[in-house]
Amino acid sequence: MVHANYNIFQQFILLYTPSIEVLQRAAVLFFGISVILLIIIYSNTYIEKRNFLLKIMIQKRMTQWIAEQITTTETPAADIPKRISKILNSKYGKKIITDELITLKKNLQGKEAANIIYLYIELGLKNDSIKKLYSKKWYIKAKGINELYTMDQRDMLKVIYKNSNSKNDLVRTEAQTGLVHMYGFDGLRFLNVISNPISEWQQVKLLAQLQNQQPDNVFYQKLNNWLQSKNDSVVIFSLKIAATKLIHQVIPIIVQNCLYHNNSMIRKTAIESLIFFPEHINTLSLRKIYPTEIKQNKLSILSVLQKLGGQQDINFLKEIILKEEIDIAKSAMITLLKIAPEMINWKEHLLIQKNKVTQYTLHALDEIAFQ
Amino acid sequence: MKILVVESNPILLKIIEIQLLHQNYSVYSSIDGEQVRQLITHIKPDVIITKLRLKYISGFELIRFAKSEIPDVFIIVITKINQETIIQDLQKAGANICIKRPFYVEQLIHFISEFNLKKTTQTAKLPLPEIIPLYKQPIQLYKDGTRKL
Repeated sequence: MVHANYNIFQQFILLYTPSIEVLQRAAVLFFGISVILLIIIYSNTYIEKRNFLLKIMIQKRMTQWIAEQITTTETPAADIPKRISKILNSKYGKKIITDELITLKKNLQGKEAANIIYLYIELGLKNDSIKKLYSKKWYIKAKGINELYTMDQRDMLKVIYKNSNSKNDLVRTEAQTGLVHMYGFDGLRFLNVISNPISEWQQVKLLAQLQNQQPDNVFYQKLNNWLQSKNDSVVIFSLKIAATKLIHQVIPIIVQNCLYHNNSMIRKTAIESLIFFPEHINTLSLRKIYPTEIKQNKLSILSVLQKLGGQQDINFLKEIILKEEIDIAKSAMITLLKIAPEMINWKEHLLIQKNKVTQYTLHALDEIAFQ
Repeated sequence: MKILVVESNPILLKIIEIQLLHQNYSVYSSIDGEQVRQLITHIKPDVIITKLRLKYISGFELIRFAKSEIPDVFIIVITKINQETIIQDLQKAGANICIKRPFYVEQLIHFISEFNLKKTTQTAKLPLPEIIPLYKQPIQLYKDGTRKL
């Protein structure tokens, strides 16, 4: 068999042995491609190295002047030294100065921050950012938005607001971040108009931005509208805002609408948000929706009941333990014991019921008892 | 008072330096923590201002080293980190104050001047120097060892 294969291989080589000319052409082609690749690699390295050195040189030239301008107690000087003007004449130089000022603005507050903004405008860098904002390339546009909102350029609100529903993910998220950065809770008005989804990550980022702020007294009215939005991600995000900022005025909408929403993710977020309002919630609403819920949401309900539940939920939980599948039964057992620790005596009752659920719930019981 | 500033951004470093010089402090600086160990050992700064992410040394390492060299050193950490656990770890390592970015330079100066004030009042409370007994009434002892004249 091996011999036969060898013959076939030999015949193949004899048939397809390339002529010397073909081999020569291939070698030339290979050589050509290698040379081109080498040139590309070399020129790229050269450009990177040149830019790096240029950056260091520019930084050295401008550090002292910029630091003096930022720390001055009066208005920074209107006269720009020649060496700085020279830097500003090149695109790369402008980029470096803008990046430096943006980094500084992110680091400083107070008088120094005001001086940074003043310099940004005086050096004509704002106009550059505006040009970037109107660029057709999404990554340049996003950069422009980022620069403008970092420098608190509130006069650009309209254009940034328009981009908050952009088709491009990055442009959209930058615009939304910018609005919240400049206007806090008022900046969230983009939620009225957006039709594109807000990603989970963006929601986390926006919530982090609002971490140290408190909404005004009428904010809940806006939140009520957003909780009924057609955009599912807006509803989920609004639920998260209501929960983190403890806006109890929206509880009726959560209970009446969100708990019965078609989207299971919204229902899950709504269930989990209720845990933040222990004084305003009646567990009846959770017991009502339980039978029709999917497994994941059932587990969420049981987890919420651990904190909100009371004596009125004991029979409901017992029923689940005896009827439901293992995972849910186990979770219900834990909830039951958290609400009513005396139910540990129910173990004997369970022992009489010889079914699978009993065995597993007994494990849960032991775990809890051990804890 | 000697202050050592460790920062990775040269302009920010310069800004802090200028503001501290305005307050008549002696300021030493290190970009990205370069040769910071030698600086600490030789200068023996009273205050160190640092960030956590540095190129040549980690912020935690720097704090521990500074505390081992100069136990009384006052360390201010400027950081973006909000996590309570990390801030607690920093304090355990020896950081006295954590300032969150973006920060006010005035706030930084305020903490330093407060520390300076504390330090000077503490020095004043120390036992009197040895020269003082000279002003006390001299005790004359006679050959028999009594104080009686």
